[in-house]
Order: sequence, then structure tokens, then C-alpha cells
Amino acid sequence: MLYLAIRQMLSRKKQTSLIVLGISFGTMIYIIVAGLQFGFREYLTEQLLNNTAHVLIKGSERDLSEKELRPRFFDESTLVRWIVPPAGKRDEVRLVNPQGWFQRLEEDPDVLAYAPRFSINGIVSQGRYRHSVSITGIDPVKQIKVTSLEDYMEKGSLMELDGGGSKIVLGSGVLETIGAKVGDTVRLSIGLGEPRPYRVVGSIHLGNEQFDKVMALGNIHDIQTLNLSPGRVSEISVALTDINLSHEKAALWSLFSRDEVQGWEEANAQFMQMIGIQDLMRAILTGAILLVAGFGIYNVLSIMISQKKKEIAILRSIGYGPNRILELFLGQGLILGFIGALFGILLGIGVNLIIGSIELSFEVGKSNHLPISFAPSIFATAFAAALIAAVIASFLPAFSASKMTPLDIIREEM
Amino acid sequence: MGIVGKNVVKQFGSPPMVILHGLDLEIEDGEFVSISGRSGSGKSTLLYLLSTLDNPSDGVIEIDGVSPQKMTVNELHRFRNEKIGFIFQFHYLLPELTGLENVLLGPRNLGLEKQKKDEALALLDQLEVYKQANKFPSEMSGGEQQRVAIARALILSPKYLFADEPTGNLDSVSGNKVMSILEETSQNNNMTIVLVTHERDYAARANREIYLVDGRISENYS
Ligand SMILES: Nc1ncnc2c1ncn2[C@@H]1O[C@H](COP(=O)(O)OP(=O)(O)OP(=O)(O)O)[C@@H](O)[C@H]1O
Ligand SMILES: [Mg+2]
Repeated sequence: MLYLAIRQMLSRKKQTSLIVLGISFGTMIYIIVAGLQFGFREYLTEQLLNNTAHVLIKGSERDLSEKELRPRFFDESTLVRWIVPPAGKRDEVRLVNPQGWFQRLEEDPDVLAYAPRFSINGIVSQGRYRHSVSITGIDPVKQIKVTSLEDYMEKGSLMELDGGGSKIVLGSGVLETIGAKVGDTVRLSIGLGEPRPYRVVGSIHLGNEQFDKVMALGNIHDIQTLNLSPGRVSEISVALTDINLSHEKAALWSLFSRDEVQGWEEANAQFMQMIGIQDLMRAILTGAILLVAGFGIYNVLSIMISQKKKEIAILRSIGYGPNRILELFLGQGLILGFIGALFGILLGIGVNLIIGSIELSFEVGKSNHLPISFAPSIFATAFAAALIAAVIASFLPAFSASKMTPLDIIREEM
Repeated sequence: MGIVGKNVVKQFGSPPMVILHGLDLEIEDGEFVSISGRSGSGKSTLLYLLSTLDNPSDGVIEIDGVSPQKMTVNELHRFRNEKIGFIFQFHYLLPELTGLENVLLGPRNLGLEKQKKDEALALLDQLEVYKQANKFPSEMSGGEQQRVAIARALILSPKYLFADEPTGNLDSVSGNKVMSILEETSQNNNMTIVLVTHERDYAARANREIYLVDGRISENYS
């Protein structure tokens, strides 16, 4: 029946190509939207995973209490009555018992690697230029196992921080702001004591101003010493053998300590929410496309069948049974869907290649092009959706055509 | 074997209106029978019953020894494909197919379109529409279309040929041609032919005439 199906479609080229165009257009839109959404999602996920581990253990924010503050301002013997009692948060978060965590993580078979970090705010300066930075002390050997930060090093390597010795890695934006370059010596101050000289051994560029303009990385021991707080840890990034365990592990570990333990999803609740909204949007879009494509196919076939009743009667009297008639029209719907989907996917890829080649005036990740996903799953989804719509939309009219008996048609026509 | 009808009743609608009133008839293999009568006398209704396209309200019809009512859908279509040829008043060629392709529709359904191609061309030649083999129906005259349709009915040498007013839409020259073809086919191929026509002259050219008056077979031709 394929032969007759094709002949019938070719004999109405205009209608056929309009429907194919409609389906292609829908498929193309889906490919473009999904390509952009997934592209951005891949980019953001990578960015987030650079800075967020599978599980993050961090000191919980603690309120300042009046009791803690009193001895700082008054001596023991003074009786103090506050008019407004002081309230606020501690500026610095730290783990209660980092050593305990190290031991637990060391022994847990689901833990692939972990890396402690200690972060404080400070100011780097060179000559007259000063710039505030967020200084993170890392253990380079461990850090490299947990994140892909090393991939973003413009110059030098994180490994140069190993062993300490007043070395520092600065974000590309920081270097630019203070007019320094790798190899220079800058001064670092955290408000305690005199600024100290540090040699810049590398620069890092994440392609995200938020990070590149404030990042400073040093050896964790150096930074702890600089802050006069040896052994202090603000957070531990944990890489698990399986990222899907992150939620479960986080829930379990948070039972052991006052420290905050976050799985990847919790740490990025907003991101996950955005992904949810995107998924919903795409589902609605897909539904709309399916509806339009399906309706087009349904209409064309219904009209065609009502115009072709005589021929159905003839085919039946020649010996073409109901199933062959079903095949004839279902086949046309499927061919329309198939060609439309194929054409739409090609168009979509073309448009995405064009969009992806546009040079942007700003940077996204490592390049200045929009991130676009060409994941096979996008094309598979688009293809399946178009085909399913075609099958459903053509089945109804095709089925009703197969149910017509030659006699009904002949009588009706007379 | 042939075609046998016993007490064939056909009624339509509710309250039922009886169109055929318990007909008994027998058409033998190789016979050329015409069914004639006034408009509305039930000619077409009877033809559809005899040709497996419809089932009687009461009574039995057997064609080639079997009752179409007892066949499955697939058996029925296979039977039509192999043993029956139809010619209708309106030619009903498929407009997307050429004359030759239309003729080969039946063989194609059996996977025989290649084997039957030469035969189809010979048949078209015999019916004087060889030139129309590669034309589309829209490029043919009514008489030519009807002859291509006849070729389509004959291509598989069916045992039974049913024709409902095949000359109805044609001028007398074309009509005569069609009648000659039917006569020749009947003589040369030993085909059983049932022809419905309201033209007395054509009806008379059959071996036997069945004359219907208000759904009953009349012995008296007036
Ligand atoms: N499906 C149907 N429902 C109701 N009545 C019908 C149906 N088919 C046929 N009839 C009636 O049966 C009668 C016989 O119809 P039929 O078509 O057999 O006549 P005919 O002899 O072929 O006439 P004509 O020469 O005009 O073709 C008519 O009165 C017609 O109205
Ligand atoms: Mg009639």
C-alpha cells in the first residue's frame, strides 16, 4: 500500500508539503529551544559542580549571642543592661570538628575524595591598586580530585600551591583590576596584622565575572596561619562514587553533627527549580507542537478520505480488505510525520549551528558562543514526538475509512 | 456450482420496506445473464447480493459453492480478488494512477503486478485503449475510462463478472463497444457474467434475461 500512499500524496503536492512544513517547523522549534535549554543547563551544571561538590559540609551559620559579646566590650565585673541587645550572624562559618569529619570520610567506602577549604575575605593590593577578594585556602592535591578547577587555570597550576610558602592563584578579573600578572608579588591583607607579600603563581578563568573578579586561592595552611586560626575549616567538598547518592548521604551525615550537610540538589535548590520550570515549558511547547502537527495531519487525511470514498469502494471490491485501507491512510500519516520530523531536525540543527556560531560580546564559559546542546536525546525526543502525533492523528481517519463498506459508499454516491 | 439464490429477501429501514420478495434463482457457470427492469425495481440491490457486496435479510446465496456470509473478512477479500470482477456505471479509476497501473491493482494485491504486466497491455490493446496505458484517467474520455475499468475487471480472468449499468454513462457507440466486449468475453473465456441494465436491447444480448418488477422476477417481459 506504500506505493499507493506515496502516489496519493504526490498527487496533492501542495497539501502534502504544507503539512510537512508544519511538522518540520514544530520539530525545528523544539530542537532550537531544547538545544538552548540543555546547552545552558550543561554549562551551568558544570559551573555549579566546579564550586559545589556532590556533598558539601559547612559550618552552620550561628547567631551572635549577647553572652558571647559582653566580654569583648566590658570586663567580667561590670553589670550590663542592654537597651537593644546585640543580634546578628557570625561573619565566618566554620566546622565544629573537622578532624572528626576527615576520619569519617576517610572510612566511608562511598566517598571517592574530599577536600577541606577555609575561606575568608581579604584585600589584595599592588602599588596603589586595592581590590577585595574572597580568599579560599585549599589543599591542592585533594581539591583537584573533587572539582575540575584545574581545567580553568589560564596560567600555572593549582599544584604550585602544594606545600605552601606564600604563593597565591588569582582570578583573571582580580589580576586585571590590580594590574598584576603571574609572577608578580602582591600584598594580601585580612585586617589582622600587616599585609603580607604573596607571589602570584597562576591565574584562573571560569568565564564568569562573579568568580573571576573575586577569586583568590592559596594553600589552606597558609591561609589558616594568616588568619591566626590553625586547623580551622569552613567547608568540606565531598565527591562520591555515585552522584545519585548525594541526597541520601547528606541526610545521613547531617544526623552526626551540628554542621550543615547539603546534597548537590539541596545546595542548588534554585537551579533545580529552574530546571523544573524549563522542563515544564518544554513539555508545554512539545504538547502544542504535537497538537498543531497532529491536527494538520488529521484534517488533511479526513478531507482526503471523504473525497476518496469511491476509490475506497473500488479497492474493496477489487479485494483490498479493511486492513489494507487502514495501511493506505495510516501510511500517509506516518510518511508525513517521518519526513516532517526528519526535515525539522535538519532545519533545527542548521539553525542551532548558526545561533552557536554567533560571536557574543561577552563570555560564556570558555568561549564567547552560546552553549547549545546537540545531545542525541533531543533529536530522539523530537522525532518520537512528531511520529507519535502522526500515528495518533492519522489513525482516527484511517480507521474510519477502513470501516466503510463498499456498498455504503456506492449507495451514498448514487 | 455457479450462483444460487434461495428465497432471497432484502429489506431496508424500519419499519422495514421489502425491496426483494423471496427470489429464487440460479445462474450456471459460463452463463451470461442480464437483469433488467424499471428504475427502483431492485436490480442493483440484487446484483450486490449476488456479488458478495451485500448480504440478504433472509434466504441464502451461494457463489462458487460457498456463502459469502460465512467467510471471514480476509477470505471474502481474497475471493473478490481472485474470482470476481466488477464494472460500475461510474468508472471509478484511481486518479493518481495511470491506466496500466489501475489495471494492475488486483494483481498488485496478490504480488503479481510484474507477471501480469504484459497481459494487461495486451488486454488494453484488445479493448483499443493501448494508447491510454500511460495516461491518467483525467486525460481519457468516458468510454476509454470504462474500457480501462473493464480491463481491470478482467485482468485476473475472474470466474464471475458483475456489471452494473456499464453503459449507463456512455453514448451508443461506446455502449455498443462495451456490450461487444462482454459478449466476446463470455464466449471466449467461459466467464459467468451478470449484467444489470435497463436497456432492453442490451439485456436481450445476454444468454438469459431476468426481468424484475417491483422486486419480483417476472415471467412476462412487458
Ligand atoms: N440502503 C438503502 N436503504 C433504503 N432503501 C434502499 C437502499 N438501497 C436501495 N433502496 C431502495 O430499494 C429500491 C431498489 O433500489 P435499486 O438500487 O436496487 O434499484 P435499481 O433497480 O437498481 O434502480 P436504478 O435503475 O435506478 O438503478 C429503491 O426503491 C431504493 O430506493
Ligand atoms: Mg441500479
